[in-house]
Amino acid sequence: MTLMSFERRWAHAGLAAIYTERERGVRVAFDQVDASLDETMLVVPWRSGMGLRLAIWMVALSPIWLLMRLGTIGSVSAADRERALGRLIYHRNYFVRQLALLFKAFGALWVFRDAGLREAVLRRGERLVVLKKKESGHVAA
Amino acid sequence: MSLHDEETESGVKARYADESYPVGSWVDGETVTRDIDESFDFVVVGTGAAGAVAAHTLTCAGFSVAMVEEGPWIKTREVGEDVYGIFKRAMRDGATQAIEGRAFMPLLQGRAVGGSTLVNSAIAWRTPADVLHDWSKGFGLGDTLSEDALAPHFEALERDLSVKRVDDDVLGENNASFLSEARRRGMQADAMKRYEKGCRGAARCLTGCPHGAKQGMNVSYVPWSLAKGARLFSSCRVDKVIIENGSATGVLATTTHVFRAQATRKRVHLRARHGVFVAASTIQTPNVLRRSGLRSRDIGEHFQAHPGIACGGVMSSPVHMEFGASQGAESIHFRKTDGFKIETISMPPELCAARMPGIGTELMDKLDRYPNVGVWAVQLRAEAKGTVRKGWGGRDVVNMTLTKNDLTRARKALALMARMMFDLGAKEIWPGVHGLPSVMTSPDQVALIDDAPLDPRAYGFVATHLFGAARMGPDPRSSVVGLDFATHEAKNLYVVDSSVFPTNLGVNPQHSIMAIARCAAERVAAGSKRSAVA
Repeated sequence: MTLMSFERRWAHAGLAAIYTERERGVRVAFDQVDASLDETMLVVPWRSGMGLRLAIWMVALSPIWLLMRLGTIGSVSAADRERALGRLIYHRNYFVRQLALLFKAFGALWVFRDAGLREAVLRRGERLVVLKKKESGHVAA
Repeated sequence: MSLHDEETESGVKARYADESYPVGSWVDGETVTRDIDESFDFVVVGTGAAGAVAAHTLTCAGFSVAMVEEGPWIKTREVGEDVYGIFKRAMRDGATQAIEGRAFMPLLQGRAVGGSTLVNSAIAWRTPADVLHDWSKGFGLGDTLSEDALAPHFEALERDLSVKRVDDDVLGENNASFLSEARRRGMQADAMKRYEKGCRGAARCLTGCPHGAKQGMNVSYVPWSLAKGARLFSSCRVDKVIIENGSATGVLATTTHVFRAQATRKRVHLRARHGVFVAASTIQTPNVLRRSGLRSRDIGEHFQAHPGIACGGVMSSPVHMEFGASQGAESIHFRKTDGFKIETISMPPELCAARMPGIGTELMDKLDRYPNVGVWAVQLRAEAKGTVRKGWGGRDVVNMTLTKNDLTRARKALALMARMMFDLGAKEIWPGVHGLPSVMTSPDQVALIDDAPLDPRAYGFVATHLFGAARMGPDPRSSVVGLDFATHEAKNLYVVDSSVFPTNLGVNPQHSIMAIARCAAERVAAGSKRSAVA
């Protein structure tokens, strides 16, 4: 089972709302997301693949049913994307909430394949300095 | 021997245990291009904690042994840093498996050589005496699995796998802060005992140890068995155990691949002269037995687990979860009174991001503070019982709903962890309970957790430790496996994984699983030798 190109675009837009790109601080690159999306659909069982696809469709259409905006997640403003995703994550309906969390969790796996993002979040250089001070050089690589 | 050396950073030649095995001893099902038909004394299904130990015990007793594993053999040098890479290859269903019921509970099971020991934290706990007593008296096991019967097996495993408490220099702040706060409160708490040789504190137990220090089965009993003459068939899914005239005589498997479409789907027929050991895990073993024609009504019943739930928080000083033992500190203070165990769990950024509250700017701000984030978790000895069934298309269907009592205890544990974090000076904590504030910034708010809804859909449980579903007992009407580890229905068909456990434990089960598998294999080996002499 593979995703259609418009489904990939929706997934991108949804992930960009969750792992927002900002001017400062940790930044997310989406270079590897396409490959990861396709690969995931090939690895997981058919039923799980359907769940992921359903999550993407739900995210894609969320501006319509949550914000009353005529457009998909890819066509509304960045602020509206974040509002729509925020409502999905905390939605009162359990299944809606679970699908949104599934999308967020897999999104984390996909975006963190980027080594640059990992380095930025871990701030390794800073950690090594801290630990060296603390443990006088006894630091694992 | 096919050996590979690696240049380490210090320039010393190093060799991982999973790169040392006799040529031809490992058959990789992902690359097999012809059908296979071979004979052995014993065939062992599964290479996790139970299967690998059973195979090693049988091999050491002088038998020819075939190990069959559904997943691939992921070598130490292939282990990457990102969670996606390991989840894709080593986790069953790409980590999308879940227990169903009133709420979904993600179910994380390794599907690789070494099973879940490739991706767990290698925590060693002997089976608690109260559990063994309960099994003996309440479930009719008598002395089959008594403390005395298991003690020599625990001792042997502890020697082989170098069990020791986490060293202070690789404890890491997430573990150290938990210990200091738990002890300040007068709780019984300690650094964990783990299977490790030379841990460097990479905090990557959950994605496979990059240094081969964690003594998972993939770097210990599996290669050790190969060195003693066993054979390994990885990426081969067992379709069924062949039962002829009421006795197990081998297994039929099909080659598989991480990317299913690339599987060569060749037939693998492994004949067993003395017997077949099934150690495919609590979820897969019942369905292997069903596919093999066993009809006991108890197959798939009495399933139990240790659901886990995490509490994260932003601490006042750096925690650096990327350094130290992934899980290195624990408290069993409430195990007997409230049925839960608290432990630390250092999450890599992607798992932490999935657990952090919010999205967008809020989430990214929290990721900026990752160096200060600490995560602890509760492991619940749930009283809930569930079932393991075969679903459409051969899918494993697991059903279980936590009871009100389970949720009450989980709630108590969550509130305790939140208070401990605040007492340590946490700036904010994330209880992860739907209906409560996702971020709590004051200890006063913790009272809300005390009154959190007793609805499993409000919590984010994850299931890892699994028990029952083919349990042991003397009576065929209420159990699947007899006191000799053979199924009541078929001779020479042995079940040796945690599916035979009558109950859950309240502590991490790997040590119990290995000791019981070792005990079973030793007894079966002795019996087979006696019958051969006769």
